[in-house]
Amino acid sequence: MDPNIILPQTPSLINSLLFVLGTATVIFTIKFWLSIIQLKRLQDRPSILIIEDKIGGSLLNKIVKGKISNFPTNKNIKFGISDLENKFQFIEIPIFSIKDKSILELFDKINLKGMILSLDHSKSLEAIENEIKKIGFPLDSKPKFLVVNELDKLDLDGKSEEDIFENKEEDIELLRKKLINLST
Amino acid sequence: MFRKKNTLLKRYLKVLVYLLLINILIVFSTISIHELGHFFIGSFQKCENIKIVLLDANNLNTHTEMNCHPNTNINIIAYGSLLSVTPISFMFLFFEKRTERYYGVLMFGLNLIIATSDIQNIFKSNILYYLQFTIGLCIVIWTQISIVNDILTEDRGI
Repeated sequence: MDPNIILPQTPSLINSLLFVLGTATVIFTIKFWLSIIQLKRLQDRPSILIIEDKIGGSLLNKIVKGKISNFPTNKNIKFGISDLENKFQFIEIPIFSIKDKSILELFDKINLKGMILSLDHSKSLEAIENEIKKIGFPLDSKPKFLVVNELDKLDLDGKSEEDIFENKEEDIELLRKKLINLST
Repeated sequence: MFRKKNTLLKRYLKVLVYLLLINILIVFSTISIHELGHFFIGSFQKCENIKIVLLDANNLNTHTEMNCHPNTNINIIAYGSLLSVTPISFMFLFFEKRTERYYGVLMFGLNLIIATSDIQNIFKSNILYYLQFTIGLCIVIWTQISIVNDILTEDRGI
């Protein structure tokens, strides 16, 4: 007996399958390769942010500024200097203003991979951490951020800050190596 | 360099296969539940010789066929597809993971697309047909994008 009611499905099983799998493949392919490009761009971004209370006032800042050509050529490691109060300066990268202290927004812009290195001698490590936490910087989030307040924390093989301050090539090289070790 | 590219390709294929398998499961279950909806409503309506045809070799069509009494309300049988898939797809919304909830939404969107001819049967309206199809299409594309986003985020371990 022939059926008197037939309820057809508009796209058949094959068409539905092709449509859904095709959409998924196209969307996934585009998204996947876009995310790879994004990751590559991330790798070119700075991995160390140096936070200081005064730009131009600290030891490391002078070293970095004075010896910019000596700093790492490794593409994955770039250095930035920031002033929590009102300025942010990147070496080789334009100056950003963070007057509103929207560090998170800034963080998103520069997309740091890992570390905060602070050489603010006038404040204790804890005070700096609290200050950073207060403005919402994700100290405890992944990737792990590290706040270093004093050069001693870098374990500069017994070198003093004064030694480094003299800008001797070998000392700067040592500091650079320590910084790279910290960031990787 | 070559090894890096190879690893990337492997990762791409691994996630793509996972995504496609999930999609295949969703398409098959949605279609099966959709047709089962017609099947059960038809049997409640005392129709006979009810058959679910997943793939007809003559025209590659998927349909449910049955013999019903001339007084049988065909609209109710057509509604069966929406009545069966919708509650099941909504049950996914109770899952904890966002990606799992998207599977339910994908199921719902897909069912809207495959039930277009049922709606046309009921309302005899082309506008409704295209409207439902477009809404279903948007839902499917949106959920696919969301699922891909979630899978990629999970894959990066973020």
